[in-house]
Amino acid sequence: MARRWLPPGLLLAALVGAWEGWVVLRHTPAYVLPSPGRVAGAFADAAPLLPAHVAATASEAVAGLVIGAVAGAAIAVAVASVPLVRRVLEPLLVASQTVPMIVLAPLLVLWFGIGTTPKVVVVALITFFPVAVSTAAGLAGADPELLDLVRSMGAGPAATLRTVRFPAAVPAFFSGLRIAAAYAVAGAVVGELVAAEHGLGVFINRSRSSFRVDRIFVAVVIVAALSALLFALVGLAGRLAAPWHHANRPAEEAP
Amino acid sequence: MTAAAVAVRGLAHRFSRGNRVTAALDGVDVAVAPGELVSVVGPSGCGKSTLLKVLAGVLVPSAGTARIGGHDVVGRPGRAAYMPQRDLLLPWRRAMENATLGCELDGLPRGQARLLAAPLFERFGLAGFERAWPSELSGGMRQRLALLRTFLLPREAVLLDEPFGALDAITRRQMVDWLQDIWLDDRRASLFVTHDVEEALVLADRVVVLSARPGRVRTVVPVPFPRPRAPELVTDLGFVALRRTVMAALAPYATEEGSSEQGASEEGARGPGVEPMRHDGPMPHDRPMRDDGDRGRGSGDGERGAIDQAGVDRGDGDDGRSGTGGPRRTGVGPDRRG
Repeated sequence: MARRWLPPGLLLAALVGAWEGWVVLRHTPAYVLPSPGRVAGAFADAAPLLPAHVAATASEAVAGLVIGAVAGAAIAVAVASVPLVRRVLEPLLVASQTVPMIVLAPLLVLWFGIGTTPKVVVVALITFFPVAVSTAAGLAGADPELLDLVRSMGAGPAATLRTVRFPAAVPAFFSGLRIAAAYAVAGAVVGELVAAEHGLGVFINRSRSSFRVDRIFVAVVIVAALSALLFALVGLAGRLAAPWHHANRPAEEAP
Repeated sequence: MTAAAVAVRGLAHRFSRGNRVTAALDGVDVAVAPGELVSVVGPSGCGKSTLLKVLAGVLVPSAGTARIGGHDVVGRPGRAAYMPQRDLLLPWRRAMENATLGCELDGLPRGQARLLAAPLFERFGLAGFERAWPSELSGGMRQRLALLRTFLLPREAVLLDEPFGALDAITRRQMVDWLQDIWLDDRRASLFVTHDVEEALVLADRVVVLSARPGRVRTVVPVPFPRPRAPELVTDLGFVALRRTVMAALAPYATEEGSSEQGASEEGARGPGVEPMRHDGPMPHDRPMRDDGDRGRGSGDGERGAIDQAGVDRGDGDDGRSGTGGPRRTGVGPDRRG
């Protein structure tokens, strides 16, 4: 554990130290770049405001991630089992990823209002794609000899999906979901930046208009921490869902 | 006599990869009587696995018929207990769930399937490993689990494709003896594919020798030794002579039984392992339409074809050959996980 976390921890500490040194030596004004110490102070200072915002952003991110995961898995199953669907959907799916979310978010707010819905939609749109691509690869990558084996036992297409294709795709599904989880929180914040009543995006907007750059940094740190937490939780869920994948095997490195 | 449990006639198969066409099998006839174990030996790439895949119903051949218990199995899986070349355990199922896979697919409730499988774990040397993941088992244990899964399936015929191919020589030898015991308890019509002549002779009632690609039946060698066969049998002079016969038939320049000189020189000129058939353009899959109507169960005797049982003595309780050791019934597999 220590071996794993020590090197990145040291680097992070060095970077924070350099940041502090830079601000102190150059006398950088706090409305341009606050020192890490000042950011920590802002954290304590804003603490009573934060829980509501964090809860809003986190719930949007999780709801969007769940919807994106379900949609992504469903698309993957359709693409993997119906060749026509694959031919029709695949180019469109790739094209859909070229539309920047930052452009789409105002439209979604226009359509769905300033409540939670547009943020959940943004997160779902961001997260379904890695899940769909990864799961489709997992479904298609099932060992053809295993498929022959269960077919020789008399399994039809449905039983083949159930006994071989689905379980074979579980690790791939979770590696797609982990990537998706890393983007989910940022997606929710993008939606909130456009228009919202609660959420870290709102907190960032307010801090900016009152020149509290230190509070913006507080929000950035929280977004990063939330993303990391979600990423870790998905990783844990993956281990629980596919225990065979990790039995007798060294821990997998994060992608 | 009853119909052959397994009957393959005129089986031919060509694979096409792009413009290249490779003939894997060419006019192969094989029959297995009920309660008989037939080994198929041949050089790599002679279509041994193709033969089993056709019988398992997962590969539709270019031509020929394949029947199990009188039923056409071409493109119709589910008649044979098939064990592919690799152990092919499902990594996401524990040992017990792997063993019961086929029974579950047959619609047997899980609990009932487990009751059937549980006693076999002892017999297959896997007691105590019911909850292990396949990745936690040794190579020999994985093979035994795959065999357990195969034998547990209530099917008329058992098809084993080089079940010990991936094992080291010592484990392999032990597994052969052990498989013989298992089979003697079971006595199902079995086709055992291998490239190991000794293994084939120790296990089989008859050995079918295939030529190099495209696989044709070179000869069929009856193995008259009574069962159970002790490990020492391999040093028996009669056994050695049979072994020589099979190896001679396997030699690249050997002629097919009854084939002409010309056939032999053709083989020789090509040498083994060379793809002899090359067509440009698309390859028609010229398998004739299924004709269930005119070949029912009744004509089964005729299907035994050219390689009927050659008067093999398979006396059950006959262990008169005391010189080769008495019956062994160890009951537990040879190796344990280290």
